[in-house]
Amino acid sequence: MAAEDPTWLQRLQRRDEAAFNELVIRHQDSVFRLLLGMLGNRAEAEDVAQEVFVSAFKAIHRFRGDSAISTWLYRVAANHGKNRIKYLARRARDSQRPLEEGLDGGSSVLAAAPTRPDQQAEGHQAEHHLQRALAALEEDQRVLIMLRDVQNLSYEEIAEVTSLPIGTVKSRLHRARLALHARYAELSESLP
Amino acid sequence: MTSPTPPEAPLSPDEARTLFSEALDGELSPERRRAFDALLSRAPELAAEFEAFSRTVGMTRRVVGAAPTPDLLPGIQRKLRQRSRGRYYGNSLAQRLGLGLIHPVALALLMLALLGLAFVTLYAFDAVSLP
Repeated sequence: MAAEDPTWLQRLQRRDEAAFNELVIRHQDSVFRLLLGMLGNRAEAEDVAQEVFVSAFKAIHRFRGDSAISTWLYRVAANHGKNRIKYLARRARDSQRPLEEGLDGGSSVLAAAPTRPDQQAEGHQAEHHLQRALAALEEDQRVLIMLRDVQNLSYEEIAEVTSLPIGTVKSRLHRARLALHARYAELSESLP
Repeated sequence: MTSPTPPEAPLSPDEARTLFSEALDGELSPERRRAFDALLSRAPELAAEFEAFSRTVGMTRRVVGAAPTPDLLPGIQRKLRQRSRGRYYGNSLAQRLGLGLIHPVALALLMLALLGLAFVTLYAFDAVSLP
């Protein structure tokens, strides 16, 4: 990851609004994708992404520059994402509803997939199965898959974000991918 | 003179399965990679397994490739404005025009001008009404 411009970092730490806007514009896509993968719901992912950047704005003076700012942001995002998952699970439990129903009805990644005329096409079916398989993983497994396979982070960077040793990252990522592949294969075989 | 690298011990299919991720990510040492490839070339079923695994992993990026709506940045700015009680991302006209510092000075001058005008008006009124 590219080293940040020290002048820009100083401006950020002084809470310069233009510098902060630039931070959001640079990293909003990757932070949003990580959260979308974790939460499986666009509206929730956008709301949590906003909270991530608000937290980053508040805590930017604590960023020491030891790691890339993106790594720091991913860490903040992963923590916020996990907290939101816990909150949604609690809310679903309290209202005796399954988690998927507890999410904003109709706007989950799965449900939000528009009914396109070509939706029956093989490629879309495969993506649909994969989305379902991804949603069935444990949250920690989803985080690892998002960081590696969607954000393209190295094992070292993932270790920094998750505070896990590299060996653990490797073994857990492999287990997560195996679980994803197994679930995907199961869905592809059982559903047309 | 460097000693030749000892040949990598052959892998069993189960060992190879534990290396699928590292093989996919290019994290295997050259010797390990050679042993892995050698086994796959002898075991077409295992090779098909690895290919299917790689395809699933490769598809993940496409599935979660969505971008946020353009409202994300304005939403963040709104939250910061509310939570800082207008200290950050204040949206008064003066601030939008980059006149945030001039604004209080201009207001003070206007007040002074009004006071002056009121004083002059009162003085003129008194002057007119007196016989």
